[in-house]
Amino acid sequence: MTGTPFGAPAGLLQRLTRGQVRVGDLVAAVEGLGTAPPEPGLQLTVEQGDVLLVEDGRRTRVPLEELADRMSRAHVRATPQGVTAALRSWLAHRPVSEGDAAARGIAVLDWADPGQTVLGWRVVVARGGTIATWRAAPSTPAPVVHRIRSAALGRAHALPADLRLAGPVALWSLPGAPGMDTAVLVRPEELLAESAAAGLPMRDPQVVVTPHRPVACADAGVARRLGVEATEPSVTMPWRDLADLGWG
Amino acid sequence: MTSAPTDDPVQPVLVPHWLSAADRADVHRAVREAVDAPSVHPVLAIHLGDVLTELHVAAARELVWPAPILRVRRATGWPADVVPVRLSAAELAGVLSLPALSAPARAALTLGRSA
Repeated sequence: MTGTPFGAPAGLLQRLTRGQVRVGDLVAAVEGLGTAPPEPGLQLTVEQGDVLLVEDGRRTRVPLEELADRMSRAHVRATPQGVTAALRSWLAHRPVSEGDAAARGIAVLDWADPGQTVLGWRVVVARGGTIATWRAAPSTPAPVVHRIRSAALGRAHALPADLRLAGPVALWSLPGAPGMDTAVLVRPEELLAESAAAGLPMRDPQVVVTPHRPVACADAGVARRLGVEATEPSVTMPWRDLADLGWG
Repeated sequence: MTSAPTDDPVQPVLVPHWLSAADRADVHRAVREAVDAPSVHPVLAIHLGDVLTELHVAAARELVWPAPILRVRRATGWPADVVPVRLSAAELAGVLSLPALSAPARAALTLGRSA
C-alpha cells in the first residue's frame, strides 16, 4: 500500500493552523460519497454514530468521532472539500477484500520485509490512485489463496508491457498500470526474448528491481553500475534467481 | 540501498555531473571518436567505454528513479534535459583529456552547472 491514509500531507501553513475536523463535516462527506461510492459494490452509510462500510458481505464499523479525530491529528483541512478528499483517500486505503482480490488482483514483486531487503510476490489492486495489497485472512482456505494468486499471476502476464532500450539497459514498464511495473517479471523468459529481438541480447543478465518502479535489466557490469547508484531501495540480482522468489 | 551481487568488486566513487542533452551529445561524440581511433591507449579505451555506458545508464536511472532528479531540477530551475552523469575520477580524466571535447561540455564537467 502506498501513500498516507488521508492523502498527501498538508502544507506547512495547514500544519501550523491546525483545525478540528467536525463530525458534522464527516457525516456530510460520508452521505455525499454514499450516494456515489468510488467503487461499485461498496456501500457507505452513517449508522448509530458510526461509519458503516459494507463490501463483499463484510461489515466494518468505525466510530465517527474516532475517524474525525484521526483526520484532525493528520492535519486534514477542516473544510467539506478537505474532509471529502480525506475520506476518499481513507477508503482507497481500506483492506482489500477476498472478492476484490479474486476479481481483479494483479501479482507484483514488492518488499516482503519491513527492512526492504527481501522481495516477494503479492496480490494488489489499484484503487483511487494508490495500490492496495491483499492479505489473506488466517481463516482463508489454502485452495482459495492459491486460486486468487494464480489468477493474479495470469492477469499480470496479460498486461501489455512497454520495452525501452537505453544502450545496454533494457527497461520494462506498464503504462496501463502505474506503480505495478514489477508485474512484468511473471514472464522473465519472454522479456529476455523481447530484449534480444529488439537488438539487445544478454549473456549474463541481471535485473534491477525497485518495487513500484520500472524494471531494468542489463549484463552484470552495467547492472552493477546502475544498481550501485540507486536512489531508492532496490535489489540487483541474477535473472535466474527470479524463479526462486516466493510469496511475500 | 541495493543488494549487489556477492562477487561485486570494489566500486570506484562515481561523482554526478549535471549535463544537458547537448553536453551529453558532445561528450558522446568526442568519446566515440577517440574510442574508434586506432591509436587510443587500451586503458583509456576501457575508461572511455565505461563513459559511453554511463551516458546510457544515466538515462535509465532517470526512468527508474526520477524523484531525486526532479527535486534538483525544481530547486535549481534547470531544464528537463539536464540529468546527472556519474563518472569516476579516471573516467572524468579520460574525457577531459580529449582535445575534441567542446568548450561548453568541458565547462559543464569541470566548473559545474550554474543555470
